[in-house]
Amino acid sequence: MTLNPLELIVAAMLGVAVLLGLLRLILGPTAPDRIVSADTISVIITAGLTGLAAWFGSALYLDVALIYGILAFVGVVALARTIEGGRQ
Amino acid sequence: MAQAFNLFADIIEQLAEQVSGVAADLCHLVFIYTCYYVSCTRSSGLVTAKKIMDNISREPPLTLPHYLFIFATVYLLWLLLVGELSRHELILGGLVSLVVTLVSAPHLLIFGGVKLRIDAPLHLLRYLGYFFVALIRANLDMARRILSPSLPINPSMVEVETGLRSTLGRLMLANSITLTPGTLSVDIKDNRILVHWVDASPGVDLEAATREIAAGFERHLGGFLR
Amino acid sequence: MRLLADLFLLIGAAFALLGALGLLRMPDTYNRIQAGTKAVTLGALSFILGIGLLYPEWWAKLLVIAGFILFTNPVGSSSIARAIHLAGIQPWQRASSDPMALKAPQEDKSA
Repeated sequence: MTLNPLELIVAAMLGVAVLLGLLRLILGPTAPDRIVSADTISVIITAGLTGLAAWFGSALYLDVALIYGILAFVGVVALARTIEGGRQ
Repeated sequence: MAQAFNLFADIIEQLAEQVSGVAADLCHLVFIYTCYYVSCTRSSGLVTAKKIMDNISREPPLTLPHYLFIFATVYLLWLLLVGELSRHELILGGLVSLVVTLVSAPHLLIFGGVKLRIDAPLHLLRYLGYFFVALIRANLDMARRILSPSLPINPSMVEVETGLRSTLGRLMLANSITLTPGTLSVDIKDNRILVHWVDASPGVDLEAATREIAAGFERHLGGFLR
Repeated sequence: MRLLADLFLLIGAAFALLGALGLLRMPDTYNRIQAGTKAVTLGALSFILGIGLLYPEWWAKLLVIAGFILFTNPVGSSSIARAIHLAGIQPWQRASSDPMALKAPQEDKSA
C-alpha cells in the first residue's frame, strides 16, 4: 500500500505525538510523571503498530501490537505498584 | 464407523499441522488471560491486597451459568484471535476453552458480578452507547482545555458513593468515570470512589454533579452487573 | 471508503497529538493523567477504526486490540493516580489557598 499525502501527515502527527511524550518523559519532574508519559507513548505506539500493519499489508504486526499493548499495560501497573509501595 | 474414524484422523492430522500456530495462539490466550486476571483482581491499583480478599470473600459464588458465560467469553476470544471459522478451529477452540475455563474459573470469582438475565445484552448495548457519547464529549472538552492558551483548569477531589456491590461493577464504574468529561477516579474504598475533577468552578455543587455522573452510569451498568 | 478511513486516521492522530500536548502543558500529575488517558484512548480507537475501514478482513483482531485498549488504559491511569494519591500528593491549585478547600475563591474559568 502506498501512502497518500494525508496518510503521511497522519504518520508525522503520530511521530510528533511520541516525541512530545518523550519530552515529558525526559523533563518530568517526578517519577509518576514519567510513568504517565510512558503509558501514553505505549498506547500511541500500539495504535501506530496497527498502522504499520496496514502500511506493510501484513497482519503479523497486529499480533505485535497486541503483545506490545499487553506488556506495556502490565509494566505500567507494576511500576505504579512499585512507587506506591516505595512510599511506605 | 469408518467415516467417524476418518474424521478423527483428519482432526489429529490437522492438529499436528497446526501445532505451531496453536502454540502461538495459546500464548496469546495465556497472556491476555493473565492480564485480565491481574488487572481485575491482583494489581488493578484500585483495590489493595487486603480489600481484594474481603471483596472476593463477599463475591457471590459462581454458578453453572457463570461457568458457561466464562466458557463463552474464552471461546469468543479464541475465535477472534484465530480469525477464521473452519471446523478444526471450532473444535480445537472448544477443547482449549473448556480446559482454560475449568482451570481458571476458581480464580475468576470476579465474574460472579455478572448478572445473567435475558435482557442483559440490551443493557450492555445501551451502556456502550451512553459510554461512547460521554467519551467523545470528554475528549472535545479536554481538547478545548489543552488548546486554550490560558489553560482553564481548577482541580479538586470529591468522593462519591456507589450502589454497585460487586468488584467487577465497581471496576467498570471507576473506568467509566475516568473516561467521562473532566473526571478521573483515583481510589476505591469499599463503596466510595474518590474522583479527581479537572475543573471545579466555584459555584457548582461538585458532590451533586459527581453523583449525577455515577448515577447515569449505574443505571445502565446495573442492568448486567451486580 | 479510503477517504472515510483517512478521516478516522486523521482524527485519531490529532487526538493522540492533543493528548501528548496536554501531557506537556498540564501543571500537575493528576491533570497529565486526565489529558493523556482520555485523548489518547479516543485517538487510538479512532485510528484503529480507520485501519479497520482500510482492511475490513482484519476486524476480529482489531476489535480485540481496541477492546483491550479501552479496558486497560483507564485501569492503568487509575493505578498511577492511586499511587500518587497514597503518596500524599494534593491536586495543583491556581491560587495558593488551602489545597482541600473546594469552595475557595478561584479565578473564574469562563473569563
